[in-house]
Amino acid sequence: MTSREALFKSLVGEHQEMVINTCYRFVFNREDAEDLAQDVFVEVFRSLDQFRAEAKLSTWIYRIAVTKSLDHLRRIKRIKRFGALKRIIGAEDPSAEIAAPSGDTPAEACSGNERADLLQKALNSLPDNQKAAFLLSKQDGYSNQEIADILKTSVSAVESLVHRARKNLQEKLSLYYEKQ
Amino acid sequence: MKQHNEHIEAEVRKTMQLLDQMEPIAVHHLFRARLMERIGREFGGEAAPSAGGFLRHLDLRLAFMTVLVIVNLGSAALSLQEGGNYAASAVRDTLETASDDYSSQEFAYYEQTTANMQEGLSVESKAP
Repeated sequence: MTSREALFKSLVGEHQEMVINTCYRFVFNREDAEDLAQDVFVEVFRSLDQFRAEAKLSTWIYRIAVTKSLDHLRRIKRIKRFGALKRIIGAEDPSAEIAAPSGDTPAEACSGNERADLLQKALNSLPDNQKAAFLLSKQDGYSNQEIADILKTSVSAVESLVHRARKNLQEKLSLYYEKQ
Repeated sequence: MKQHNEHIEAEVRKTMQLLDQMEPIAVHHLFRARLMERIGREFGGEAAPSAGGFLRHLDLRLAFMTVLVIVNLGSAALSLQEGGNYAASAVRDTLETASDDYSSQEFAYYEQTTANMQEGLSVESKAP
């Protein structure tokens, strides 16, 4: 085993739990979270030579995790938009026949599909930086300083982003429940 | 109205609390094995990707070129050696030929003289 491989294996062992759970916060689904975590570590393996010690290695890995998760959410949004467009123009949407991944989401376990879907929709409507700051702040293990490093911003900016994200979420949810 | 607002606030709070209630998930015991399998598949074992891969290919090419150069040099040396032997033997032959008594000027004269004598005899024998 080369030193590179040994280093990579130790990195995976050390950070896999944090990476998977970070992705899980974003996608609300275990399988997607594991797939994304794999993508994250493949990217880490590919770019390990290019890593410069300007940031902590863990911060760099978690930044990749956040970027991959946001990319995944954007991709899903694009697919949904494309599906909606197809429905409008009357074309068949093959993805509509594919069953949505069922179960195994924490929100489902806690409070059923509707509330979890609602929360996910509200979260996905937030700007990326608010969403990332807010979700990372909700996860154990990230300090505001670390979130700031991951998002390449200041601690005060992170606090502001989290505050605005919470306010936006409350407004969106209130609006939804008022209409009910 | 106040009751309605309180109800909305309670619903919002409950929904927001889902994030706080999210339990961290345990890593699947096959996660690392699957990951290493994928790494092996995508990068060919311990091959260094991207720039490393390029350098590795470059190394292989350099090694191949070095082998070719060595083979060329070897064959050139062999042919030179063989050619050298041939040249040496040719020079030796020439020298031997040059120093040969039978090829000397005297011998040429003798031959010519003999030929002339034979010619003279034949003329004489033909004469009545």
